[in-house]
Amino acid sequence: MVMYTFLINAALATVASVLITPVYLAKFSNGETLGPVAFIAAIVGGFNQIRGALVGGLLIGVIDNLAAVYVSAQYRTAIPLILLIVIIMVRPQGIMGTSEGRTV
Amino acid sequence: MSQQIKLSLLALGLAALFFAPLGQGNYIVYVLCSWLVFSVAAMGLNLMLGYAGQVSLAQSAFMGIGAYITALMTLAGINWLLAMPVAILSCFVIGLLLGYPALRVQHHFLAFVTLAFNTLVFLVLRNEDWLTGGSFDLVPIPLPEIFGMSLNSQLAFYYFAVVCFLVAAGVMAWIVHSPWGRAFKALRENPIRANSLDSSFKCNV
Repeated sequence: MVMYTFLINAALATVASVLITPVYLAKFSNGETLGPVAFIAAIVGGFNQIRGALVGGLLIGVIDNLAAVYVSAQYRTAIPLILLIVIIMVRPQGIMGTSEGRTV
Repeated sequence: MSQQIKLSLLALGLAALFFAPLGQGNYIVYVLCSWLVFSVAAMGLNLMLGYAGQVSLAQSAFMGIGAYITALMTLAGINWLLAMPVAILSCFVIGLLLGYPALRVQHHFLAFVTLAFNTLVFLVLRNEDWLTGGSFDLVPIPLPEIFGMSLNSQLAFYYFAVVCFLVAAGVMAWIVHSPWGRAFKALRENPIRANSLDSSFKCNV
């Protein structure tokens, strides 16, 4: 079962990469910038929901670009990180996520 | 292992540390210095990750903060003997400020918070070039001096690093064998049980 999740995840990542290469071009260091953004979007949106990823991705993208224009171009990568910290502190399950109980 | 074997192994290690750089070229001494320096940093990470079981990715951020504070103070003409405790203390305070909110979350969330902190520190160090020099670096940082003796040669600096390493290793051994160390291990093995124990244990945590 774990192998299937890896398989589906790889297929989805490939679709994402096919869609993004015309914009970011194919570069060996793309993962350093795009990988963390995907993580942040997943956590902000919520891990256990598909719409969470949608909301998180949209929110991070819009905030990132607005921050670059209106706050500071040098600190544009910092704003999503601060958002990530705030979200983890206030709502660890993400904006759309539902909190799951834990067996003790 | 008996006490005698332990002591003789310790003496053997100390002798190896003393004799390792003798008769070597500058590069080998530099590699040995880096080894000692990074093993001190790794000891801190080991306390956090290995003993307390908390995933922290902010070790390099603390190294950077400490390095920049020491560098700025020594460049301003302050002796490193004063600069080093100030750097340690300010890293301690920053660690407290980071740890207090960050430790409300666990596992991979903690890793992400510390990773975010790491990137934030990197951005500040790169962008605030009025303070940190940005991508132009801070040069030349004076080498430490002890009792009027400058550590200009590689070999002298190596022995300085050895002493710092031994002090750090001693402090680590003391922490790990103190009640705190046992509390850290309890926290790693079973955080819920560690939390549910009585207040005398929590005082140690």
